[in-house]
Amino acid sequence: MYSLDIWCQSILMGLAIGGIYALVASGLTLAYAVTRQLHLTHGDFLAIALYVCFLLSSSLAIDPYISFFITAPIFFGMGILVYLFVIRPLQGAGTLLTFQVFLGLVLILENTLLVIFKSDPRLADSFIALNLVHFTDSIMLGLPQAIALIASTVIGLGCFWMLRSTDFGRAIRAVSEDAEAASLMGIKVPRLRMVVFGLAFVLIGISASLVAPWWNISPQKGLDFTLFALIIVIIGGMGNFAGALIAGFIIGVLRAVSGLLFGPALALIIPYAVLLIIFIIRPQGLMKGT
Amino acid sequence: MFYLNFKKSLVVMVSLLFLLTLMTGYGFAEKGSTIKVGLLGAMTGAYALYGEALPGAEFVFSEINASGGIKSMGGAKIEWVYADTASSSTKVLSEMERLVDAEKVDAIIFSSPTSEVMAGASLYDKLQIPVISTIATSEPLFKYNLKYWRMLSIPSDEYGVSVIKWLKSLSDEYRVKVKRIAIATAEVPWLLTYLEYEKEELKKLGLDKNIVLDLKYSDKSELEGMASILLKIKASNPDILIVNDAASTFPHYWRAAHNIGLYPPVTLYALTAIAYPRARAILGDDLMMRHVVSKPVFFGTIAHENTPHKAYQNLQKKIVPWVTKKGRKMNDFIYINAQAAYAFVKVWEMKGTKDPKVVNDALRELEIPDGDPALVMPLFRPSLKWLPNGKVLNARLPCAQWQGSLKDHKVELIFPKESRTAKPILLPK
Repeated sequence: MYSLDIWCQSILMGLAIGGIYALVASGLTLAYAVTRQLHLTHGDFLAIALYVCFLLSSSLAIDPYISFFITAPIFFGMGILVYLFVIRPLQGAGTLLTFQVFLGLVLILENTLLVIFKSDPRLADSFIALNLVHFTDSIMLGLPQAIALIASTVIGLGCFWMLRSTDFGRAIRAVSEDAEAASLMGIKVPRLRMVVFGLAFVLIGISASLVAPWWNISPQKGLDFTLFALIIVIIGGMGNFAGALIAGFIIGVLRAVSGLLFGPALALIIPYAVLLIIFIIRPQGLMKGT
Repeated sequence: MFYLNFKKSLVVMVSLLFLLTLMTGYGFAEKGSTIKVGLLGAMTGAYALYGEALPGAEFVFSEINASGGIKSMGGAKIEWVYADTASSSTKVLSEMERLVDAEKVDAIIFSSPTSEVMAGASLYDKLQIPVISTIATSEPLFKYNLKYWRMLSIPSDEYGVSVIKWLKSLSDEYRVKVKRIAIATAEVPWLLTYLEYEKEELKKLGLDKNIVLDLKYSDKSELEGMASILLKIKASNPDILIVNDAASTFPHYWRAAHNIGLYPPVTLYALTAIAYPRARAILGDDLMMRHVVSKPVFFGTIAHENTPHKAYQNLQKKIVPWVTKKGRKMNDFIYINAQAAYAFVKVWEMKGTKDPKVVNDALRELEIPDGDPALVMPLFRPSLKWLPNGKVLNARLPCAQWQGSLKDHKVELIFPKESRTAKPILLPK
């Protein structure tokens, strides 16, 4: 069997990747909570954000950690546009039509990326990309992964605090509970939905900056990201922010540990297996959805 | 008078026509004629790297044309026509038929992956046009004993055997420890075939019992998946690590190796991609320096630029500027297609005809020894020739090591020993 060092190393890597899953999925769940629509191009926009980081890094030598200051406002605006031109017109439309529209968008976005960037994997280089954090002689973690772990935890907790303790957060929760009642209480629901969508996209921008130095990106990855985020959202409880955060970390660790135990091929199916188990024993998710 | 003259003229003309017909029968009609070659390959799509190498053949044909054509055929010029399979096996048959029926080609150079070469298997002998398929390892076709098909690449068994030969040489020559051997293989059909041959070769050497880990991983593994795999390797504590990596996982392999601190005493890395500037662009110089350049990492290389081989060096000097001038991408497979073109040129010169049957029979018997200017790929030394089933003989995957600096692109050739440009360095004591 493996030594404790190997296990610790595996769990640490799982936590780092889980933090990113958590951040991406929490944006998706937040958007779902206020609009009741699953944004199925979420992963594709993460792919776009990664390409933006790559372009800024390769052509203007802007480090991915710095590029966040450029991507955040761009993606906030992009989120608002997606809300105005895609999500809002689809509200009230049937599931089939919504699904078809999103599928079309996924194909358009992925193929556009393919035409522009080809299928070669790309990586945005960072000045700290190869720095390591040594916990012991044999337990180490890449500095970018360590930053991703810490940043995703801090940002996740910060958002959770915002939802719990600020008027804006309370308004989001009110809309997610009952949009009509919230509207009668004076909350401007359409505007709030728009801003929340913008924030979900900012979380995409942050996630991209955190993983750009260590994730190779190719155009086809968008759908994978979306599927993974969806699984986490469902496991965590549809629309439950804390649930998405916790589920993200759990899935990250489970994948890493199962990879070590059963090999990488089986590790790939672990999230789906967890999803099935959750469906059977706790259909509402780990935490109650909105 | 006029009648007589006309009669005389008619007799002369008929005699001339008769003579001409006789001469045709002996092949004289091919003087000054043209030879048409189909350059078939995956020029677009996922396997475009294969088709992008076809200009290697175009270069050779333009050179031959510029130097007066095929001399034994009275200076016959070579024409070529491209055909794109668009990386789709389903297009192979229609494109081949188009080349033969509509374009009337006399020979085909086919630069595509094995799946596409396999898709054309039913046509090669039916069309009776000599085909040399390049780059693909083409293992599944050998059993059909096709008459009109030859392959020009490194066969899968040679890949596997070559890697173990490097291991043996390092062990014999430099006393490298081989007590614990770990093998990691991406689950891609041809890599799994390499693995079979590697294990068979290790068995022959009595080293199979030294395998402490034989790990397979998905060619779609991401960074975190690769990290789990490499943690397993790290835990197995190998003396020698053999990695049959896939192009899709190669960036993740090196990055994950860095993240978990995997530094095996010796790594034998079968993937040739690590030798090229493209690898630097994907991995970044820093990672290359820390994990590849300054470590005992040995890898395969198809056409190493410093190989001390006259014909190859001559070709390299001319072909690189030509490809660049044409605005095309240079890759090592270009040399293989050039080699295929030289094989055809050799046969046309030898036989003085483009007749497909004669050319094909000659190809089956052909042997181009080292030293002949037509043998431009040193990896086919001591001579380029084929087995009756189309498999190329004598193909060996050379082994290289990055030494010195990235700036000078210092990839040194380590094996075969006779081609060595530098001794292996950084080996464990």
